[in-house]
Amino acid sequence: MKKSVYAKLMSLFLVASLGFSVAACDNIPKINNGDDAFDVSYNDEKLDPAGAADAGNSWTYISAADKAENYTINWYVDVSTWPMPTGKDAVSKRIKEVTGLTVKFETPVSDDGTKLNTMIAGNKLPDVISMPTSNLLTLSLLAKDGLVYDINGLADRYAHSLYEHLPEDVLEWWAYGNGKTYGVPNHYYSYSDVPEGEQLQPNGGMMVRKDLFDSWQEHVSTDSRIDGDGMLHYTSLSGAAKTVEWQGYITTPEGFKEAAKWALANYKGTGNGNGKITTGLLLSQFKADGCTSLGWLSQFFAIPYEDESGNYQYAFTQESYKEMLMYLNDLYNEGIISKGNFTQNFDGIGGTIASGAAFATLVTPQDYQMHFLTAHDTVVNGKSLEYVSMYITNENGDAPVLSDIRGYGYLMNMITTGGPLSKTRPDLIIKLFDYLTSPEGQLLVTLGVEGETWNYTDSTKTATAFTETYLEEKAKLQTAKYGLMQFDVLINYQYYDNMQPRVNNGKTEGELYRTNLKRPLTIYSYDCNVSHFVIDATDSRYNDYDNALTRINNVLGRQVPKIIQAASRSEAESVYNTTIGYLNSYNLDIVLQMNAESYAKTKAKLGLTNGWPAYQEGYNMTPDRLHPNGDLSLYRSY
Amino acid sequence: MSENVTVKRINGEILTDPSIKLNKRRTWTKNDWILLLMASLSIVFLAVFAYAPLYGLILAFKKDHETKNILSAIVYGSWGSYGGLEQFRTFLTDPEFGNIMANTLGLNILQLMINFPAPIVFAILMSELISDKFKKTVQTITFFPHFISWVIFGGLFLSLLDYDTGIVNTLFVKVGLIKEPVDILGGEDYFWPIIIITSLLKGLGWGSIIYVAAISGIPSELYEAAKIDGANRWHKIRYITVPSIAPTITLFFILSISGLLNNGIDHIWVFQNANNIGRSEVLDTFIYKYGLGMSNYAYATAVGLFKSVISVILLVSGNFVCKKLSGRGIY
Repeated sequence: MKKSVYAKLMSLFLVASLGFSVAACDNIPKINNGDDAFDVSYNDEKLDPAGAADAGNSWTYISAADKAENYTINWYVDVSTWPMPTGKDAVSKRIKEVTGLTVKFETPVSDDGTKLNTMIAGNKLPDVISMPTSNLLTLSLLAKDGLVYDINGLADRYAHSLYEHLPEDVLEWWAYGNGKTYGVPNHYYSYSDVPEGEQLQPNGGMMVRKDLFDSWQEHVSTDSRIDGDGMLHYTSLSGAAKTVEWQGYITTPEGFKEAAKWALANYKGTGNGNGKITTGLLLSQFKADGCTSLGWLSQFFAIPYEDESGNYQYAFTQESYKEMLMYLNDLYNEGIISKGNFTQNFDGIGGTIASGAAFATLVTPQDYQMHFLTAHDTVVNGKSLEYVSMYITNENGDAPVLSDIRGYGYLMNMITTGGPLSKTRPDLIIKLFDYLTSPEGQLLVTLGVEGETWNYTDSTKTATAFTETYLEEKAKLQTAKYGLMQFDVLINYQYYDNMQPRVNNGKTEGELYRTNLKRPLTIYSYDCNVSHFVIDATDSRYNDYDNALTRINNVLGRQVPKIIQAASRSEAESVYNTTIGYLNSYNLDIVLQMNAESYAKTKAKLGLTNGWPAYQEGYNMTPDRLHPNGDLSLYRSY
Repeated sequence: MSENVTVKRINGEILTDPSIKLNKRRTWTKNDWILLLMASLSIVFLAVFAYAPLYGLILAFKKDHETKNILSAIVYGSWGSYGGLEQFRTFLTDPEFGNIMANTLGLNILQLMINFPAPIVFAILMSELISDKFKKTVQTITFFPHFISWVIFGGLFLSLLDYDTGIVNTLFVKVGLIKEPVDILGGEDYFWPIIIITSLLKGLGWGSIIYVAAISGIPSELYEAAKIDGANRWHKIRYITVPSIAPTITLFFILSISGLLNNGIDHIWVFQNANNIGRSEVLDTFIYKYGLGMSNYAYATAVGLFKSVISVILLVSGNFVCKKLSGRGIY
């Protein structure tokens, strides 16, 4: 065969291959670049009737024909551990009755984001994507590529009443520079919902095995370094002479190190649930992009995210953050942080907690609440392996500044422009969002069907009580059929907290233990919303920012374990300095610049001069060393 | 058109017969069509999964993060802005570049030295077994791990080797072999041995199949003749078995050389963690993280293309060297 004929045939073959592959895919939306970025198109045939804006809730306009269509929403939640509702419970049935919609959920098997990225890359978009708000880069890129609708556009067209149900500050918080918001979060704490003067519990927390903690306190109470006034004299890590009430010695970095070493010397051993410990301080999973424990410890060590003039401060490059890493390096070299900690996955860390094998933990308590409960319910030699919250301060003795649970969302729910899996109906989905965001929807998903599981107890409809039937069923652990707290993708937790039955709520001891896990630390928690600023994805520098941040997070995930595990402080400092060099080579400047700008804008939005609580007017918190275990009176019975 | 020297078929045997002239334009038989049909499935497979994705290589020359919907970019050509060789430059100047290449090549060369000859040796040993029952038992036991996924197989080792709770450390400490547990899973120095050993355990039996088949194809007359000549087992292996399977060994050796930059992500991924990342980060895991993990497709594509180009160079070089040394090659 002549070469030219062969080349032509080969070209034809390759073009045919491509055509064949592409032909196999249908309904591929065009992505947006340049001037048309963020643009989406709407089907204006589905507009609400004229006058709907003044007439009531949007879901009441869902036509009988639409209800009869029995539309099924494919809803992807990008959290592997999220428990999917069965769809057979009373809540799901009620949602179906009201909106005519059925929801089919899907979750990934792991949390590395690959499933969602593959769905997006391969154009297999579900109708709705729910993903952690911490994944800012993917959130913004979905919007930028025109793969998700802006909520404002949908609400204007199909669900005016959403503006009444979704607090304004929540909607505005997530708005980009173009004024549009591309999702509705759950677990938001609107300033309009948080009761005046209420201090919310912290997001992170430190926990300690209560029996070992008590034994240590007993041990240290007879320490020869205690003077007649009950003050314990010790040398700080930097060599300064210091004193502290002996009860609170464990809350100092030096005291904690000593207590953990003591615990390991006296209780170290292996074996599941035998009361022995394998580690002094358990940190959370070391992932490719870091370890959340470092964030919690930096809050206990009161490392500010702004300087005294109110300018944004990047954590890793601060001297105090470096000292925190050196402290962890010291704990590692003293054997307090186990080598095994760096290789443990979520289940491994959960197993360590459940078997009570850590003296103290710095994990996110709510993520491991069932493991803490298992330890709480395990009794060895007549003693529970229960963990209780504790705190630790920096060397200077500054009170911890913990970020409270408040925030503008855990999961962001976005309505996609659709892929081949769906003949998407954003007009119906936004109405469902509206319904679930309304008080009626919120009470449905949290307390169940009114009249079946709960009732109002006053005429103003501000208080509720569970029905006797529900409480009886709950006592028999037969409540799955009611579906409470399952459909929580759009839950406004603070609203639920305000409305839930305060008495006779049927909560078990285990449920109350989980509710109160870190509540004693509330005295040190503050509104740190300003630190969760949103970067404007419409900014022309956003791509550079995105690239830099991706690489920086990756390099930190790689380097931080090396710093902690360095053989000596000087080696740890050397690795730290190398890491700073990497960050600079990955364009840290653009990250600092855009973070600082967004921080300043967010402060202005919140009307703050200083965002760091300890720099705010009137702050004079000092740690209460006499109650190292936090304020147990803050425990709640609901 | 015809030639003077031709062949004819008699009862399936091909005989040389100068008196018969063969027409070169022979007609297609039913069998030919069936063979073509079977081959066409492979061609379609290659077209869809090997050739069509080549179009996506465009991404390697684009700027990062300008699109996440690859399929849409293919259809509408909206790849984002041209970035030239920026992605390649970024990778080649990445502080981790040297380490990643060292890990990729080091681990593979080690596997080439240990895991490549191991199935050959194993197959030869198997062929020397007299008891068929024992042979089948060994085959079943050694084949079995191949059918278990790396997640399960690796997970088993993760549990056994855990620093705090693994039975290996616990046992060794209890019997006094070691004083303190050894961080096998986290220690950088242990990563390569773990990969080599687990690869062997999982793939030894399966990898030997092709060699067992090649050995079984050696005519028994050769062994009988060697026996008459006074050859012992070792002589038979050295002068009959190994030379007979040499073409198969050469073929697989050259293919292994071209795969020097392929580590098999599922295997490495299971054992990789924050502690051993210095020895476990290879090209495949790096591409996976930046591609599917961070949706930085342009960068991941550039690194993937870099890997493919090096692999082609290795393939051509390996083939050239083998041809020079043994006279055999794959083309």
